[in-house]
Amino acid sequence: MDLHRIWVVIKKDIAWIKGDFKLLGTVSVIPLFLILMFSAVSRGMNRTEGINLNASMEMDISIMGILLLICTTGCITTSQLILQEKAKGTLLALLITPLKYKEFLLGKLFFTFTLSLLFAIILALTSGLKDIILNPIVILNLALFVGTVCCIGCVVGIFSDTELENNAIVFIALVFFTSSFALKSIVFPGFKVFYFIHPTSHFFEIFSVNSFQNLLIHTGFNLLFFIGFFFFSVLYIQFYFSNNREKRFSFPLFLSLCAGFIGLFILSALLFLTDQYGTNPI
Amino acid sequence: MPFAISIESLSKQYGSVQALKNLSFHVNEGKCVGLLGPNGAGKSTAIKILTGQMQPSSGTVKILGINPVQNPKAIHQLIGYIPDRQSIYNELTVTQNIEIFRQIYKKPKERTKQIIQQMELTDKAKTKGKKLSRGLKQRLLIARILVCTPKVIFLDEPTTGLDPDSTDFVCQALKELKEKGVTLFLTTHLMSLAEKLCDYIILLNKGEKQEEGTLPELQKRYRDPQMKVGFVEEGKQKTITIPFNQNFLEELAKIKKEREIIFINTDKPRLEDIFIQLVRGKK
Repeated sequence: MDLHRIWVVIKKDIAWIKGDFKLLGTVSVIPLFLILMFSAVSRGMNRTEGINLNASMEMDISIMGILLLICTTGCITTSQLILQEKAKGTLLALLITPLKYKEFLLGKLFFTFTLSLLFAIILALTSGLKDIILNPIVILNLALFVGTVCCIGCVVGIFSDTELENNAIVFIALVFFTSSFALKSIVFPGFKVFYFIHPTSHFFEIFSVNSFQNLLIHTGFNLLFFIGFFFFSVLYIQFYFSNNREKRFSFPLFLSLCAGFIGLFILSALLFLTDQYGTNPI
Repeated sequence: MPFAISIESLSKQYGSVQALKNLSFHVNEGKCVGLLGPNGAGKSTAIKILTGQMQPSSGTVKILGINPVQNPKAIHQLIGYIPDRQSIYNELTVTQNIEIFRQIYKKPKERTKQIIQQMELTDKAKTKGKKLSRGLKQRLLIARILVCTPKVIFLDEPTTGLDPDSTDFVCQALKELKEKGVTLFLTTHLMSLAEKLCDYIILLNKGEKQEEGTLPELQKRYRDPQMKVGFVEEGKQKTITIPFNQNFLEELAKIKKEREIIFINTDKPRLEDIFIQLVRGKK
């Protein structure tokens, strides 16, 4: 891994976004609008009994705001950046150089990752979540979740052939990310295991966690999701380019993704069966 | 010394379509090879396999002794690739576009200026990619790969859509590279470009090698079996064409008896004629 080459990709993206008003709007105007909107809405929140994350009228809307913001800057911008490079043919030009897939992805992720994390922290601070967000472990968890979202954005960008297709997939991704709220509100025996294999669940839980052990468990899950999706995106870009950008579906990669989720399912089940998870999140 | 490019029994299958069938050839360093063929002949497939973008179904490929399928990144250090589309960063200036690649290849900073001068882009150095004409974009693409001083350059349809002036500039730039010992491998529909640049020509059709050789060798093989005879009649110069067969000498003697013969010659077939003959399936 060469840090110099990663830096070249970051510098290139900054110069590119500066000259592209459409992208500049996606990365700056939309997040700023979300910050203003959600910080205003969350002003009247009653948090005396902690953060309410249950799907109800009293639910803490600012957490949903942070999630939306991360998805906008993380997932949409990353997929847009990759899709546009693909459409122009510059992605291919870059990959037929000594630049490695990993270096390209890290460089590409760095910009959207930093922006998403920064905007998420600003929104948390302006929404009255200062006490929670300034905890280093919470910031670490937030960073890992942002990284996961950006990696999913990368896969969406590589998978999509047109902007229309990209927008449709990003919309599905947004539904997927927010579906954790719905999973949380479904209560029947064993369902909490499904809630735990959803990446967004561990992002939500860090805002209402009430024991250090649980915080470590969520951090572990967030780390696993980030590492898993990062390597998946590296393998996917490698697969896509070694097949002349014609095949988009890889059965071995699909199987590895399924195996990852089954592994997480077993891990979650073991946590609940052995009573390692202190407080039932549901 | 290894060949610059070596292909042995290369085949590529896309489902039921055979894009390349048992293709073999070798290219010495510093030579220019043209892969010619109609649309769908398998030219781009071959170039994609050679640049490590695609895996062959069977056969072996080596660039400067390295297998691009097994070790694509080692190959990417040594080669330059100009795709058939003008893939540049439209929002960045000419200098910025070249700088990205200079930094990836870790070449000295002066190299960018040097290349901009070499490609006569000095007055456009601060112009954004989107404001460049097609010809200038092509120059920028060449400049971008030259920054890494490649040993082998792959060009996929390098002059498609360019005006004659830009085509001539690209052709001259490639000739200079060849003189410096760079191996060129190009695919093109433009026979005139291949005639000007290529030391060796491979004609591909439906994934199969139809013909190969130097231009004079191909011209010899496909020489038109007709002779042109020039003579003077009633004070005017005229030309007639006689079939070059066993009656040729008799025919010639007949003409000589009545008229004054000025010249007898045969036209060398153009590469375009050979190409059309092969594609239409007749020799």
